[in-house]
Amino acid sequence: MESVDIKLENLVKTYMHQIKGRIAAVNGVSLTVEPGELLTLLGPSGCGKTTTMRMLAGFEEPDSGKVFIGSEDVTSQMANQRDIGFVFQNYALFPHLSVYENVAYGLKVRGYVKRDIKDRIVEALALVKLDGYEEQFPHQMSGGEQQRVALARAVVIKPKVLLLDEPLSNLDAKLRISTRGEIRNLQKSLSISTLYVTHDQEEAMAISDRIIVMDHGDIIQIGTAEELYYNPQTEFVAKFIGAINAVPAKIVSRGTESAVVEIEGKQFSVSNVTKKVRTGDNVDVLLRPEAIRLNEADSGTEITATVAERSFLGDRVDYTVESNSFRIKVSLYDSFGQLTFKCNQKVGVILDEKRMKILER
Amino acid sequence: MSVIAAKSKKTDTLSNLVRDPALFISVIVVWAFLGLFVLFPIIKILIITFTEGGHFNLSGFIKILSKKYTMIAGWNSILLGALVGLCGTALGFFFAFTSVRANLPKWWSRLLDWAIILPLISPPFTMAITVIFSFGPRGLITHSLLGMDQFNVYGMWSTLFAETITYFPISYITLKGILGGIDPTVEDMAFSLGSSRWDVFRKVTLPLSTAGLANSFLLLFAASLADFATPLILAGNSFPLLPTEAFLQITGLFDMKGGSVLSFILLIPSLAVFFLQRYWVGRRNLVTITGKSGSQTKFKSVGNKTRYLFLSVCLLTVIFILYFYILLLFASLIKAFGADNTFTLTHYKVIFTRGRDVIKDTLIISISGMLLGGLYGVVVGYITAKKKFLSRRLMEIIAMVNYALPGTIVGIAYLITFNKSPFLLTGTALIIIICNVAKYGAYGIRSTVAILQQIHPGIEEASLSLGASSIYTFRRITVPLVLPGLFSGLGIVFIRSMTAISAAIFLVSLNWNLITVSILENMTELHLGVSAAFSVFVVVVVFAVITGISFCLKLLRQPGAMRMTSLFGA
Repeated sequence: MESVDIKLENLVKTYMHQIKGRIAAVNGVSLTVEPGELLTLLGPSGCGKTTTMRMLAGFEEPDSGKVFIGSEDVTSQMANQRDIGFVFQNYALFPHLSVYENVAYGLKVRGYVKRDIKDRIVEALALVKLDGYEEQFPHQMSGGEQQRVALARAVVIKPKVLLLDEPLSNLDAKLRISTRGEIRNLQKSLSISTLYVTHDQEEAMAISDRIIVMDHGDIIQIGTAEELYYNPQTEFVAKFIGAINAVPAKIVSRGTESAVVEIEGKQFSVSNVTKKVRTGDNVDVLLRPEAIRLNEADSGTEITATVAERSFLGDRVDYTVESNSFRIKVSLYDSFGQLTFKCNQKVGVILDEKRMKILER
Repeated sequence: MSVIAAKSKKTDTLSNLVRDPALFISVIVVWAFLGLFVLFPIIKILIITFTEGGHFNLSGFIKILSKKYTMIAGWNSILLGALVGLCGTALGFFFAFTSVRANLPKWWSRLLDWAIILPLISPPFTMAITVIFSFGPRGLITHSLLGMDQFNVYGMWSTLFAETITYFPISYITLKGILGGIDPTVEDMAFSLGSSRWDVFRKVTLPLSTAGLANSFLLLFAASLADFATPLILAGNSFPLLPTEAFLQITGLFDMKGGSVLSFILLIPSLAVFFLQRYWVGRRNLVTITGKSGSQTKFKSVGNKTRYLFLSVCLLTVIFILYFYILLLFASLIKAFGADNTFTLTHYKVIFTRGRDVIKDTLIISISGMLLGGLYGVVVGYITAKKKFLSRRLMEIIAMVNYALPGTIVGIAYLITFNKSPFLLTGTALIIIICNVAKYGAYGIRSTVAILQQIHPGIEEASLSLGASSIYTFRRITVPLVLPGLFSGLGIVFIRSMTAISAAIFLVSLNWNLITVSILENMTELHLGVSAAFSVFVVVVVFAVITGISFCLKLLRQPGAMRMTSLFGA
């Protein structure tokens, strides 16, 4: 089947809140999912990502705005007319039906004959590696298995659109990682246009073609994982995607697209400065923990600081270091003990100016 | 924008009605039913109370209100209600605490549950009858055992006693849920901070149960206020109460106005309690189910000595309750209670020959009521819990009104409303059936709503997302899952139809009579043996039905479907 695109145009949904009055859950969201693409809505709880997806599914009626699947305007259609596959956070398996009957449900609704139903279920269950589970009931299965039944049930009808609402949040950490890989492979092999909702940035980065970061009902930034990580447009995105440090600095000179900043008496040249900052402004310099290195503070050219906290995480060691003007996180990927520092040890802090981003204060 | 949004919200609920024809028809039918059989009769009572010859006139109302007897009856009703509320809640809490906190062996708590369920499923005046058998002029205890001839059983104390024993199970069920809902780790925490058992009880357990206690008090208060049969048998002339006075006004004096006025007076505290219970206490439950309560810790709040003390008191009460039922059975199997203790089956012969029509009538009425009431409960429960439409909240409230009102009021209201065309229903079985459906169908609504709340909304959405229509979803997903709710709803409507009397007594006729009414008639005519035999028959039938339904529930329970924990889940 040919993949189609999905378009949301200016969707608005408001709710009555008992204390705050009328609030916008989704505040004029427009987006496009390209044919065969996996697009993720990422944001903290209450940011409007689930409501947006539910409007696309037809579970919620938008106050205004339009929903297109392919070239068809489906805004006024009910969920059962939209040809979607939906995977719920709690899987929403039918508790009184066996795995076979759960997966068969959508096919029966569509009037398939028994023979075809059987063939497609066998195929779908093989796809999610659940062959042989046909007669089991949901309550007899583990969370991961239930999750895969939900997935099989959603894709067996070969929908135009696949919608996944935090599908991994009820699984334990290890299973989450393996399952997300399986979901991605399945989605790619079926080439279904997919919208994925999660609040887990790592999951979003691992699985998506593109990510949309949402907050308070608005889209904050759209981009690939790399774009969001290396080039966040706001502090919110920077903080939400990965860990980040905000180091206080002062602009000492300003070029057209560059600036020189001073941190603790040391100067750094930052390129790609788009913000309206002027010489003399106090700013925050954003820097990822892995863009910082530490040494023994012997050369005298580094900023000196003290190790306040240290956590050994196997593949890396995370430090919190403090100086007169900042307290930052540093991740050192060197777990073979070459470079380790103790708490309260004096260290030199080396900042990578190529990775600095300037933020107005 | 907010204006547009507000508008769209309103049109949302309206457009749902237009878009979904099945919903539209259900809403119309339910409203027609509620309008005709809930609102119209109450309005009729108000009209009769406050008008004279078609005009608004308070003089008749004031005249009856200012009668000394009315005042006394009103005061007595409230006093008795409060006392039953207090005593029943205390006894219920004691039982619930023992059952939940004393680490009983399983069979022990089973025994408690079964003994306690007896008063709940018996005709409401069974206890009153056995009190007469025990403490009456020819009573087993007062006359035969203690040789007292002048003992007067009638009055407030015996009524209080019978009502407390009859209704404390309601309190037990309510409080058992509350106490069981307190995470034992909360009490463990208090122990770990150095509290004694008494301190834990006083400062943790009791405060956490306050809302439950208040709720139980109100439920019992309402039950006592509504109770009609117990005072009719036990209260006597010296202790008039509102429901019995209203009954006597109508059946004794054929004074519809007097009956209406007394009903209206009774209506006020009943509605007050209903709304208080629903909108105030109901929302103040401190036991919130948050976080994970996977801990397997045992309750340590009852010491060993206290435990045995509690157990003995409970056991004694249970023995007492069982004694009453054995006495009932005994009375049904002897020639003349208090005079001739020769074994006989005559009374059973009587109920199965002369009483055959009554039994047949009762079963026909109860079974039709059960089927209609079950359907009504599921439809109203489903649309009010799951669908969004204009007037949904109002429907929710109105559907509960007849359930909340004392049966006496409902009975009188039906009597005065449906005695002339175009709504001439007096003398038919239909009027009794409808009365039961409108009153006890509420149990079906509640059990449907309870089970629907356990079904995650995602499950129905999942069905929709797979392309199923809302009717297909309802048939294939919702119905199989709410079936246990439907069955327990059916069971309760049947039981209540079999045992109720307070409304039905105004609606029975020569053509259609009920067992409960016959029991009462036989009591007043001093055919104690026949009364007892009828009562035993009702208890046995009800027990059989409960067992049958529990069996069906087990059989019908879909794999993985929710369990309906109790037929009488509070």
